[in-house]
Amino acid sequence: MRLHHGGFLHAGFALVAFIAIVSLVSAHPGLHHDIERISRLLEFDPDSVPLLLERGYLRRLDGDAEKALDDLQRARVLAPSNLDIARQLGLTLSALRRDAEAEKELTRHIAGGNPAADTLAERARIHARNNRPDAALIDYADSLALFGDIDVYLERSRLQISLGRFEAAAAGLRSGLNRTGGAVSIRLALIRVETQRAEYDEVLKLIDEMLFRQGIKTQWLMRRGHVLRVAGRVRQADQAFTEALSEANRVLSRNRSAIHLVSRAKVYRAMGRRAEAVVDLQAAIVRSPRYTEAVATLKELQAEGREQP
Amino acid sequence: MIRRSSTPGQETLIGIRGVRWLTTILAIVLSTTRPSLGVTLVFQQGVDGYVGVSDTYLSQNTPATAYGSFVAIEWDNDDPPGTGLSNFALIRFDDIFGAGAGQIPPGSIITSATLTYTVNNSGNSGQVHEALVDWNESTTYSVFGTSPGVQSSDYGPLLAIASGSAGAQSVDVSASIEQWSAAPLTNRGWIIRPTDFNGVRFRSSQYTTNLAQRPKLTVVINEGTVVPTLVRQPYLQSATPDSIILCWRTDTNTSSRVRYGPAPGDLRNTVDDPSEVTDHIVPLTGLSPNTIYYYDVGTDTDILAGGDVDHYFTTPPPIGTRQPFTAWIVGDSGTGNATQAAVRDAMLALTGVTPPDVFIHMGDMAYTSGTDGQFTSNFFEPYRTILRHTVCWPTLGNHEGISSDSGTQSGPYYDGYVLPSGGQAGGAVSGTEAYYAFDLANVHFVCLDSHDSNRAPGSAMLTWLAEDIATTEQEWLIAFWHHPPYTKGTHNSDSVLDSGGRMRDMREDVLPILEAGGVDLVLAGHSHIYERSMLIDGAYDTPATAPGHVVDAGSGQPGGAEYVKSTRLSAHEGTVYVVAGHGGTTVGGTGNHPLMYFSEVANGSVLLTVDANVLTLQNIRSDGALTDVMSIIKRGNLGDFDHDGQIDVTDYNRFSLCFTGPAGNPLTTGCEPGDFDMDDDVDIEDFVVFQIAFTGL
Repeated sequence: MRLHHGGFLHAGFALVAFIAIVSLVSAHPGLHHDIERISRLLEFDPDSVPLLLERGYLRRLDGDAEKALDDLQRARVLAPSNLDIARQLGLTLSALRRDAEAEKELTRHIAGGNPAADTLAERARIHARNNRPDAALIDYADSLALFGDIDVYLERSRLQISLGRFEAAAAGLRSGLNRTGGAVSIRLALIRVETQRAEYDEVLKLIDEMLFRQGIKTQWLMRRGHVLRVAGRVRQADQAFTEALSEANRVLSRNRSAIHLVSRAKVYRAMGRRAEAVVDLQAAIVRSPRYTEAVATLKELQAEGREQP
Repeated sequence: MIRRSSTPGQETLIGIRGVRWLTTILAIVLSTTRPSLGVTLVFQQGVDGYVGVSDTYLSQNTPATAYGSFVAIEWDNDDPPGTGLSNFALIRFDDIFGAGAGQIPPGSIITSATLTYTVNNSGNSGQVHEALVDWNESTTYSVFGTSPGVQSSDYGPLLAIASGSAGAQSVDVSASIEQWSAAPLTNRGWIIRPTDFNGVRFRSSQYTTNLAQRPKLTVVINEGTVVPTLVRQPYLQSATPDSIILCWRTDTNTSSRVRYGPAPGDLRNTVDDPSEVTDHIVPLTGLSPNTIYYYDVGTDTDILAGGDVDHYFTTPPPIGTRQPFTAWIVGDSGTGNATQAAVRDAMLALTGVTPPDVFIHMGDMAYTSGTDGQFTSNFFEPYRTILRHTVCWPTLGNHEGISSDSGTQSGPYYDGYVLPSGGQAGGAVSGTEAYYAFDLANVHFVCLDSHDSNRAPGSAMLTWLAEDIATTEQEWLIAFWHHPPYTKGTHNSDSVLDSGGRMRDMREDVLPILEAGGVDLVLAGHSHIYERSMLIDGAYDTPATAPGHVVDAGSGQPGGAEYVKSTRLSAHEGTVYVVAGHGGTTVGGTGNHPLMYFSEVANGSVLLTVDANVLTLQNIRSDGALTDVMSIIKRGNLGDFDHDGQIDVTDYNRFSLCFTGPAGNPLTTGCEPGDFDMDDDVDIEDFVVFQIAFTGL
């Protein structure tokens, strides 16, 4: 259908107005200023779908999903078949937790044949929130096929674990670990899953790969000790904790800061040497009275001490 | 960063019109390096003897009707109104390739190709695809392709969007012409598919009233060997003590070559990459730490930049080394205007012949939407003389976030930078360029993405952060991101509505991790103001308040009022927070945040120097005035003369120089760490204590 409106004169006026307004407001860059800039343009061209779409997108980025929705719904009326509007509407409605409407829009965009990773991930979240885990897992997989977002890997694994699908969770995280070049947040999640699966040798491999890297190793040696202990390999676990203590001492010889005193206290605690742990924690609190982790750990140890005869 | 393989036309053509059916313009191509020769060919039905255009449209409503003789072509998906039936436009330029006069010669390099058409009835835009099936002006909807109608197998991927606005419109069809140039028989023209119900009609090759409004194909070619031009001058990325990455952008796809060596005239090492790209990324490895290298960049046949004293880089010292360095801190600068230049020039005037070692950008480097063009004009161009010898470490601002996406690491920000997602420059593997770490001398830097990455507790970014800072052995920890946790500038960090709550998120969820890890300095931008806090700790509440959170309320100024912390990293001993969002745009706000010691509503930038156990920060206003200076000193235990956290042979040697023996002489400068009993004399009593500290007994 041909909708005849202003033609050249209209477009020309809008262009002049656009240039003038950009000149006026460009001295105040900021998302809210961009939104204001588009608002002024919309005064001249209230039915501009691109402008409504852009303002809706920016308003959502700026945290104002309600107003974003107003723009996008208006754009929808003007261009009912525009799939970009469906995408933005879906993401905005999901931010407002209007799940049914959001799902409908996202599905419309996805069905258009050119789905985006974020659209699929958002629909997966909606499925998960509404107790449709299998549908969520399909969308997570499709999203990750398009791009390997670390947070999406983690979200999917949490869902799989909640369903008791540990093997699938481990496989997915392993794929993510390879794809991201070893993202530490995925590695930690994989260590937890493999520990739950009692795949202790796999866990130890994941930990040992980190021990080759530079830096302070106390935390990774502690993880090693805990896994070996869970695996029932007591002697090896003791050895790992001893190595962790040695590493903690090495670090403290260079820097007797509260951070490292607390680290050593944790090693002592894991080794059952509560009194030495308490001394380190007290020393840490003297150095950094605001160190809440030190205070909390000390309280836990003191409580444990009271519980035991 | 993703390698670009498109060929954006960047030349400006100045020429004269030819005399035959072809329009040939011999042009001087404006180049940043040297001139080269370009040729423009124009194909338009009936102009200068060219008659190779075929155009028509296919109507679903009248599937047996051919429209090749019509004076207008159209696309529409609701014709007649209310039916939802579509029209598809078709256009092709034949006989454009060949060795004949006015044709595109075999082997030409296509600089650009543009299809121009004149819309006489405006509407919604169309989608341009290459047609994959044969057709002519007698073809109808019923007989198009192998089965009736337009099927998805009848056309290729989306090539461009055709505007439906009134008047002359153009579409970049360079990719098609490049492809057809190599295989002319695959030229079946383009099909334009409708996107919405408001249809578009444009003048066809049959239009007689004004020949200039007929469809026109303009192709700019370079015949034979050409010298590409630099769109982005060389810049440095991801430096480590033994590696660095050199980047630049050319206007056409070329191979990459970097030559480097100890002097501009001695570029003895060469790295080649034969891949034909416009965004060039060349890693140099096996370098020596703390060493100056000169370089040039280009192709396997041409040098495009460098080979002089201005093009060099210095590799960082080994990690952990207490070597002084200077960092230039700039935020919210990407306007491309005179203010941005004034801020830059004030820094250059202050630093003179000793430029900063690194350039750390707080985000919003490409106003207003972080587009590729805005990056080039508002970041790479204004800073080109700095970027060629100073490594830039950026963080994503909200304006870059309009055009770039952290989830998929795509868009101009991620195209432009090469950042250490794999922990290559120190720290834990983040797995993403959105947040990363690097070590420089004795400082560990952490860059976070406050705009577009998940900031929630338990998110990938916060998990990575906690792991990263738990494993660093550096003496200093500095973090930076875009949205400040404390500000009363053009943004209010106490408003949960401001900036989508990002400032609150960073304050409430990120600062506890950092302060427990001993962070010394946090840098941000976003709010267009300069603000610098006192030494503070634990102010996570909303609204943020000062009582109970100020570790040192003093000025922090050198000469006696410096903030003092323990050696190396120590939890919750206080952090200085800086808002440096004053790098090039209009400033504003009240600047009255209760945690700030100094605020100034004026443009400028910050110079940060770390020299062993002393960190100093200066605010350089755009008029050159230094309006704020602050220092943090890390003092070791008694006996630790060099404040490196350990009492070793270096301290023993210093103690020996200060030790006066039983006679007792006044203390000389710098002997205070040896005076254990604080009697203003480094004597035998101190020696006994020092000996115990030194031996550890």
